[in-house]
Amino acid sequence: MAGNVFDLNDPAVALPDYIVVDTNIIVERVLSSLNVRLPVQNPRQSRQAAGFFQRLLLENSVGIVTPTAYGELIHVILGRLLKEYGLQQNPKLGAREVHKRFPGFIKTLEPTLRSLRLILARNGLKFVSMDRVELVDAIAPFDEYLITLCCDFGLNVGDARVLIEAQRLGIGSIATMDGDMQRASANFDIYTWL
Amino acid sequence: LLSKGIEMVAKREPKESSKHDVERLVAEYREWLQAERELHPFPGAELDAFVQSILSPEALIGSAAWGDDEEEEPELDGSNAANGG
Repeated sequence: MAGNVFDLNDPAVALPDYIVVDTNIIVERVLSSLNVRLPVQNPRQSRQAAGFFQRLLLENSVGIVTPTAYGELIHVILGRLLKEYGLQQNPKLGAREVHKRFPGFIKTLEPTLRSLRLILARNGLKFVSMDRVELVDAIAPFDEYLITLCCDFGLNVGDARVLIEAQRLGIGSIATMDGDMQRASANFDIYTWL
Repeated sequence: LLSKGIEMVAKREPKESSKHDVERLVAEYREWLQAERELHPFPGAELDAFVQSILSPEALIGSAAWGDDEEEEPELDGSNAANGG
């Protein structure tokens, strides 16, 4: 299948029925909730991410979150929560230090992360479990194919894994803020902001 | 190399069964979402309020979620999302 690049700035571009959503859009949307009380660091990305989620709901499109993207999302949010806790310590601690020194605190974050997952699901995201993206054919095993995508398309490992998972799910459309992902447009429809 | 990669990807078209699986998943999800909407009609506002209740803006300062701001993992960081993730 030959893909295309679609510009989400163009109001004429409609979202497909379902689309894989890259981690960067979700993270940007979550963190944009705090922008009301902070000089905005990335106003453009923040608006784009918020607009994308509005479109998901308005256009009745479903944002598919693959296991790799979900793992990346949890990693970032957990890091922010640890950082928040570290800022309350005297002296202040970084997230990595909190992670090492306060394992009990991490346990208390479980309900928070579960709630965030549920609220994101209400915002148009369907989280897909690992067993859904298992190998569907045997032309090339995952370990070889990952190298192919990383090296031939010039993608980082996370991006390459998201593409593999999308393909295993039979989904040919990806929404991303990552310009590198456009390199995969030979085989995927890439929805991004040009 | 690029053409070889594209060729490999092209050979790995998903089976029809995986498409059907996803369509079924999406249909089930839409049903769930419709029921949730009746209970939570403003999911965007709900998300904003929840995030504001668990994080302060100070947690956004600097671009690193983990570790010191000097040792970045920018590819996973929301504040640098355009470069990765």
